[in-house]
Amino acid sequence: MTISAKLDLTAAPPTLTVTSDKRKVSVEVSAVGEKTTATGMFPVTVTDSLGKVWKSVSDDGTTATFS
Amino acid sequence: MPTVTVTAAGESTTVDYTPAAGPLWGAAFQTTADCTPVENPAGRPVGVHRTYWVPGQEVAALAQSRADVAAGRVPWVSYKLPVTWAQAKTGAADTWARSITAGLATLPGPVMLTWHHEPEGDQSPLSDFVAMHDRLYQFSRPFPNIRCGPILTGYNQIFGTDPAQKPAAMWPGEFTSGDFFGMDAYMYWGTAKGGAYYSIGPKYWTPIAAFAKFKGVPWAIGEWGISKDAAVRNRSENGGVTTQITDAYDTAVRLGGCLALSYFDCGLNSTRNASDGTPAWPLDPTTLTAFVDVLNASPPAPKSW
Repeated sequence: MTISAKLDLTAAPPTLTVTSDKRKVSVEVSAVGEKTTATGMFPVTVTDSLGKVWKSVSDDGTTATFS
Repeated sequence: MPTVTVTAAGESTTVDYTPAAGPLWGAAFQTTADCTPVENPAGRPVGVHRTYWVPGQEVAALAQSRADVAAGRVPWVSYKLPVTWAQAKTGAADTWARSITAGLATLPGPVMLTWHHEPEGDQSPLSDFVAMHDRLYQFSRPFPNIRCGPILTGYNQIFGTDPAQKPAAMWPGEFTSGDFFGMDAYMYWGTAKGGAYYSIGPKYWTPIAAFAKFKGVPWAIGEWGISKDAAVRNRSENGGVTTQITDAYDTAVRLGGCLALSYFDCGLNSTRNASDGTPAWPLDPTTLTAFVDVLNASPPAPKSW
């Protein structure tokens, strides 16, 4: 899945919904016989041509919502 | 068109501020309700057309509204009442208001309705106006094509000192009903009245949008205007572009929740330009060009709400 974005201007305030399944990363590391898994998540950056600052409302790692 | 670009995990995409979701863009046009000076150069109808009526003009008002819908506009009908607010709040205008809303319900498209715009100072107390509005609103509720809401004067709420007219007193809290919240907005710099110079969209729209958000309804501007002299100053400071017009629309888009922006392209009851004494608010030819450009970027009138 590639990244997608949906802008709903009928909501008050407007909402921006961003969806991507490539943000979650998981790396397995091992040393001296022990293993562990490190997980992380690439952030979503938002650039608005009007200068509006979009604030994060929710983010489950796949779907991020801003208003 | 404004855009939003999002980036994550090395991918990015850009979305427009979709025109179909933006506010309706239109005006009140002189006393003849002739929209052609704007619509002809645009090649399309305005999104919203504001008209003003008093008791006795019901047939003409409905005919104009029907013509607006047929032309692809959302009519925004403003009515003064046949009785006082105090009388209306206890039922004296019920039959009349029911007739108005029943007529508007027969229109084959959306319509906006306002009872007694700019009420401040016309009668007292304002609590009677609120009670009147709450009562008459009930008559439009059964009809899905009608959106009804008040239009406050705006200047009184944003700049005034009368505590009874402050948003905290009139809004939010007092109104218990309405499909939208409307205000008017004028910048008096360059007029005989005088005042500060600012960009009218950000100055007025921001608090209005906040009030509407608190109430949980869309907001709308029933009248707005900048003087001819202000437009000239605006262009001289911005490379010949009337940014006041574009900023008004873009700010509404950015804030969200805006149903309609209706300019007061009318010399009636207009304050005067300080420079030459002509009516301040009508669009001059250069400002009209900017107005038409925004119209062409704004959504068409919807077929239904």
